[in-house]
Amino acid sequence: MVLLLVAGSAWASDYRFDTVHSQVLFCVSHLGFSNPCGRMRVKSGSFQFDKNHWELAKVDVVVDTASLAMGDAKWDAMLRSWQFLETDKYPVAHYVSTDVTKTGDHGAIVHGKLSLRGKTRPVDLHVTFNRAGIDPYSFRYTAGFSATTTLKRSDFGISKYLPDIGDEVTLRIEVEGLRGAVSVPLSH
Amino acid sequence: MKRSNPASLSTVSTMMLKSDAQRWGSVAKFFHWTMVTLILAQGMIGLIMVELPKRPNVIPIFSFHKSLGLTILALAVLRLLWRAFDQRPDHPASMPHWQVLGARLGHALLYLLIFALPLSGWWFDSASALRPLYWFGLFEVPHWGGPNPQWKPVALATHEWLFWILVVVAAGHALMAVIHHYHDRDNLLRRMLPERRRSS
Repeated sequence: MVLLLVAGSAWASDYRFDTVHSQVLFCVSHLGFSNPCGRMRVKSGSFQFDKNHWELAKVDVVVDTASLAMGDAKWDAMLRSWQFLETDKYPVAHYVSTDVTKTGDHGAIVHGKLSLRGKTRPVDLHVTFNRAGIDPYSFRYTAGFSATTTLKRSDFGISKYLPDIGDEVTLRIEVEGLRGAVSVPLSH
Repeated sequence: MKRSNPASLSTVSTMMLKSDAQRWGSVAKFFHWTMVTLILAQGMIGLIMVELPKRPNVIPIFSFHKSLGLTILALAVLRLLWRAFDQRPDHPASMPHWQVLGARLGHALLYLLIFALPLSGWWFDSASALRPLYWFGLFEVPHWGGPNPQWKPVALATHEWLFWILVVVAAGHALMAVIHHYHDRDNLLRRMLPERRRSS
């Protein structure tokens, strides 16, 4: 994990994640009755992106697992405990891309590796590029993406209460990244 | 206003609402000096705000400038309406014909500019359409159509040029008033200044 972080910071990135406007939503089946979702915060990370050169895109992101929120304190505590994410011992999840396959004008599959609860497994993200440009409120050059993926929690050794609590975890990811320092638009 | 109060009749007689052949009425004076104050403030805010670093905390200053500009535009409309009902004091008898023509041209330009300047700013804001525009945060002011990157630089240049033209014309206007008052000694300035009691 430490090695990955060092490797990740070795390449210069165009964008830093805006940790406020970056959210990871995860949903899991509850006995088939419903599919409750929770949210995690992006802690830090960066990405490279040029809409004309998707093949050069890279991402390295750290997610704060302890930040998970289900909207209920007991529920949060249970998911943070040793039974699930064991966030005391593994306070972050780390995703690093390996390569990118373009699928359309605004879409791509990002192949990469996710380290979660001490295990590293390949995870592909279906990414949609939404918009890049100067944010007229922050004056920062911003790029935003939405992404989805599905993973099996058992692959990461999180097997408690299978299959009552589903194995498949669907993720919906909404992120924004900020480029450089303050940008200067033509007007206000 | 104070008309209903007989005790203040003498004040009413000096503080006339409408202009006569010699002096400007209080409504015209109010419009004139309010406009002077707002335009001076607006010009200074405009010049300063464009030099400030582009950070989120400058947005309220730009919003204030836009709101003030729209206020000036509204006052310009009211002023022109009032002018339609109000007479204008005569030019001083001592004034040569060329000066009368010059004054007419200058005043026409000033009227044109107090409309054109806010309108060009509104146009620029509309062509940029970066954020919704609220008049002092109270109600939304529509943009003219959507963002238009082609017209945006044209609108900006127009706004800036009109501003510098206004600076020149307004300075000429003030200078001529002072020349009339102190050089030609025709008391021209007093017609637009607040009226004191007769005794003063």
